[in-house]
Amino acid sequence: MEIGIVAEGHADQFVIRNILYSFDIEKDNIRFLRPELASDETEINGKKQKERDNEDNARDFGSWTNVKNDCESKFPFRHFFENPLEEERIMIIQLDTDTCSQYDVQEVFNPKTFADFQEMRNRVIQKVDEWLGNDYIGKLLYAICIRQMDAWVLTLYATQNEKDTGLIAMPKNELNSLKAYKSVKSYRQIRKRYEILSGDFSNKKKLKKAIEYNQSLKDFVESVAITTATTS
Amino acid sequence: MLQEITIKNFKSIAEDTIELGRVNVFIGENGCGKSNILEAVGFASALENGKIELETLVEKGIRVAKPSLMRGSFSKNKNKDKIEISLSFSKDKKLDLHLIPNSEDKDDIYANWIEEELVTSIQKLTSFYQNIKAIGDEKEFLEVLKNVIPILEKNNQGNDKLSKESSEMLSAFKGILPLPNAPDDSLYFSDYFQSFFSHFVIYSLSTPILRGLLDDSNIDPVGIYGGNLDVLIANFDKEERKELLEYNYLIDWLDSFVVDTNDILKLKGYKLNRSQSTLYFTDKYMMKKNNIFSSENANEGILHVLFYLALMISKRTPKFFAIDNIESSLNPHLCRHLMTELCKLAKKHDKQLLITTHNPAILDGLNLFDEEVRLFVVSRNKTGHTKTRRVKLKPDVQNKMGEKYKLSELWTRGYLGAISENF
Repeated sequence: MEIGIVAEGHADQFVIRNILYSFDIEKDNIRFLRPELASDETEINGKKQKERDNEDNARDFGSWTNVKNDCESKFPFRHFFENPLEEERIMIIQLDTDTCSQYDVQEVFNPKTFADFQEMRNRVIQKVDEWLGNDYIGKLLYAICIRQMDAWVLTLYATQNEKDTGLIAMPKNELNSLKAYKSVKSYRQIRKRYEILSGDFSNKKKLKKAIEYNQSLKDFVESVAITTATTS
Repeated sequence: MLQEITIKNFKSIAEDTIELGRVNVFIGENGCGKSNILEAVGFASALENGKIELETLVEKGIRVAKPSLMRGSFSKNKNKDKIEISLSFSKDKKLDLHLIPNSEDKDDIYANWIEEELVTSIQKLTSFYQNIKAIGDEKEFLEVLKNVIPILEKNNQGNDKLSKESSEMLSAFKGILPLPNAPDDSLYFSDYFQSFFSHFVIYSLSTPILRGLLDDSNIDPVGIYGGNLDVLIANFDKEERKELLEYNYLIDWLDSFVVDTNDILKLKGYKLNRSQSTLYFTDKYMMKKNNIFSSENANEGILHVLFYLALMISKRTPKFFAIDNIESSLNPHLCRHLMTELCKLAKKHDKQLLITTHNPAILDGLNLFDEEVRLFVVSRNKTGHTKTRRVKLKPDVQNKMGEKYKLSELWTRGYLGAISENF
């Protein structure tokens, strides 16, 4: 089975890949769908180096706009699902909920319970399906991170009795303040830092423990479990 | 043809099985282990009488390192001592090799390699020989002898320790027992193995060598870096030459080529006395009186193309070989067309090829609906082991493939894998 990942940014793709490893999915069967590969240097001629560097880093975090464009144009979806290569295919779409209100998704006010998180997740999924014109239903998995992907990564560093990391108001700041983050700061590429910080997601036992600290992570991991069980 | 190979514990390949076709193209990011696959095949093909000589490996284009690096250097390595290669040529032609360094210093870079079975058989035989009178089990002794005698006979000529031991044992056995006949069903003594597999080499062309400016390896009829192309072509028969000339259209300016066997053109000032090559080309756009180029002066593209075509057409070149980085010096459109033609020539002349490339255009020359033509993506898995995946097409898309899904574009846009995810 081949799994494509359309995500806000590269860093998110690396985190999701670590989760997929725990389901024994091989690296070579995971495709990072990268819209920038459809353009070339001539096309982006004229941009200053600083702008380019910013873009490179921006690609690590990305934005809803990237995902929205991918979904509405359907370009990566067509190329992924309709190309002639023989493989069963699933596409993962990743979005953080922190900026959803800018994209016409109403936030759940002051979310506290699992039901609130699931409601938030469902609203984002509904928007994604709307962008895609309800195409590819049944072939999609949704990695919807309540607030930010950082909240998912924080689950690996959670201590006992800690509440859902989706409740942390600024998960990115929280992650950046961890001792573990300081040890990866020497990596120039932010995606590399996230790949290392989320490395333990590839360990079945550690992932099982981690999902207890974040409902939206648990929902995603359970959806992967169901899909891999039914397709293998 | 070699139909399947399983490689264990060779360089970056911890364990991998590849089902091969006639023309096999391997793609993957730099350092993923493509060349290691070719080298594993070459390593097995170097086996002669139970031994692999260091010199043979080098001549075949295999990068030799100390044994601990020739074997996989991974932390969870179970079989640290040996390289295992299983080859299936057809249902009844299979060969399992377990290879260990043949040296007292087990990590000596100069070590030859030897079949583990040969070592254990000789040890067993020596032990039997010493204890035969005490044990008295002559039947078992003869059984072991039957398997080992042919190996001893092939191995008793050299000056190394093994050859001397083989020679001594043979003399001893001849004195005490009637020798059984050598079994004739052993694959690696067979003509098939010798004619098809043993000549396997990895070609990796170098322009200065194609131009005759540097010496190549000692492999005949052409060197692995492109040497001796002129000699090969000079010895083409009428049909081979005719077939080669049919491909002149591949290079726009090319009128024809000549091999100046007596090297007279050199004396007439067509080249300096630096190049050993006697191959010359004529340009169709230039004046007939003054249109000859030596290999030293011709463009490199024609030298590469001519080499590949000669390799396919000649009866003297190996039936099974590899080409590392076939795209070198070639225009993308030429890559695509050349690849299509090489597939046709491979069938016509019954050759089997392993090819690596970094040029997407090569993929557009492959018809993956043809079972004999195969494309493999080579990658490192999360633990760094080289793994190979065959790219197959959906059976129902045969008539639907449009330009938008060209394999070259699927590769460059990231839908095929075989690219780095780090940048």
